[in-house]
Amino acid sequence: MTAPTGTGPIIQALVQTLRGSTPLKAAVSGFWEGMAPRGATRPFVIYQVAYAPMFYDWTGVILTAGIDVFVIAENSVDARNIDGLVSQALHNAALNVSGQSTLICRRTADVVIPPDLDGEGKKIYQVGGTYEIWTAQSLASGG
Amino acid sequence: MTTAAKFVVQITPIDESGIYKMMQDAADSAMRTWLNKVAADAKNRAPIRKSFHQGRRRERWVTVFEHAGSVKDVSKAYSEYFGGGGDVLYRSRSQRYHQLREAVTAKREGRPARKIPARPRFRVVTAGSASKVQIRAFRPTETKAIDTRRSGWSLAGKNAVGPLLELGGGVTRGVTRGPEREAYEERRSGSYLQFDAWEQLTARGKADLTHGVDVFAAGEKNNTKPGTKPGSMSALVAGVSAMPQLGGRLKRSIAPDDTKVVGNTVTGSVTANIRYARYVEFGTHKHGAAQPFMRPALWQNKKLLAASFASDVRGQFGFAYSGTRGKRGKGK
Repeated sequence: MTAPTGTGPIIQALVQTLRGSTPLKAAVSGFWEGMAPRGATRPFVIYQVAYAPMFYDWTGVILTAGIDVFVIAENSVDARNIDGLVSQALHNAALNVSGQSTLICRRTADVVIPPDLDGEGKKIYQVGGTYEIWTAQSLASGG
Repeated sequence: MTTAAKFVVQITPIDESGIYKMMQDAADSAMRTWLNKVAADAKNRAPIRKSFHQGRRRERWVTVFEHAGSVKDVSKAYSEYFGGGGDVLYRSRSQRYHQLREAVTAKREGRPARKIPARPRFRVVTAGSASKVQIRAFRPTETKAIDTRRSGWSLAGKNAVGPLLELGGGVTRGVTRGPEREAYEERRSGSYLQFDAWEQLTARGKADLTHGVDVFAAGEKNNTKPGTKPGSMSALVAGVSAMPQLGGRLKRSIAPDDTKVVGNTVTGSVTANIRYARYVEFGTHKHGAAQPFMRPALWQNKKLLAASFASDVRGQFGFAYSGTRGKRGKGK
């Protein structure tokens, strides 16, 4: 039985899909995992795996990855608009996950973090949601 | 503001007889058992807050001192050791305050404003890594140092370092020997320089500081670094490093709430009852990347809820299911 591939290919596919959305790519300065580097120009998108349990059956495994995708912006309207673009790009998207077949990719929750101040006293908005991506992969051995 | 994960179990009413009530009880009991499991798992996953230390013991104090500019943060940190919150630890005014006050007074009196000198203060700085901790004490002169101890940059800082120095019997760089030292000792014995920090410490603070001070006083004996003299700066650093971790408020705040049974629905939740729980769960641009602890705990235990419910139903109906199964299996 082969070992299952983890969330790596899912993240790769998710970023590919985000980058593939022309209006989204034009609206943000970049897509970062976890947190953006210091000095990154806002607005930008951050994403991170929140949970990824695997459910095995006799022949394979179903991976359920919950990925938080947030838009960080200096303007609440921008933040929400870009969040809309992210949602358009990801909700029900057919992600091209290498070695796994995508079952669903859906936005399952809105997450709103209260606005915060940055080092210069500017108000920063963080708006986003959790996307649940289910993938299936076969674990049957070649022999 | 809290972060809560809410779970709902729904049961289907079978009839109006006692069975329905038994199902309700089973669902309630199963939910309670399961919530405890989820809360325990979330506690295991919850990180120690990073803004107070970086996950290693020696960095704890360093980071606390780095936060000295932010009254709130230090207050929070020291509340662990001094109890009852840190507000009382900050009585002194800042240099900026005195400058502003002097400017206003000078303007009113029609004279040029006097320059308010920077306050001498304890300062702990990190140089590249936490292992290079320096305590720069008592500047610019020793007499000023006495004043530092009285009005200091923060009573919290004084209280933390004070007992360490006092009990360890050591000196820091800047407090010289000779007449100045004698004068310092003399003045230190004055009423206003008596450290009452020890009395203010919580039991945990006392235990931790005693341990740190033991290391400080013993020097090389308890320090892996060779050549560390008792009471020296490096022994002080070792003493500070030896103190256990501060933090864990997030972990302690995680608890299951009471379940609610309404009709055929049983609702339960696990709450992290602390302001920054959601920042840890989801991450922020300011506090760093997310370190989810609630949702992974939920997913990890998701399947157990049904098992727990089944087990409780069996219990309610008086089936010794697993026992029977075991007996059947035997001898065949």
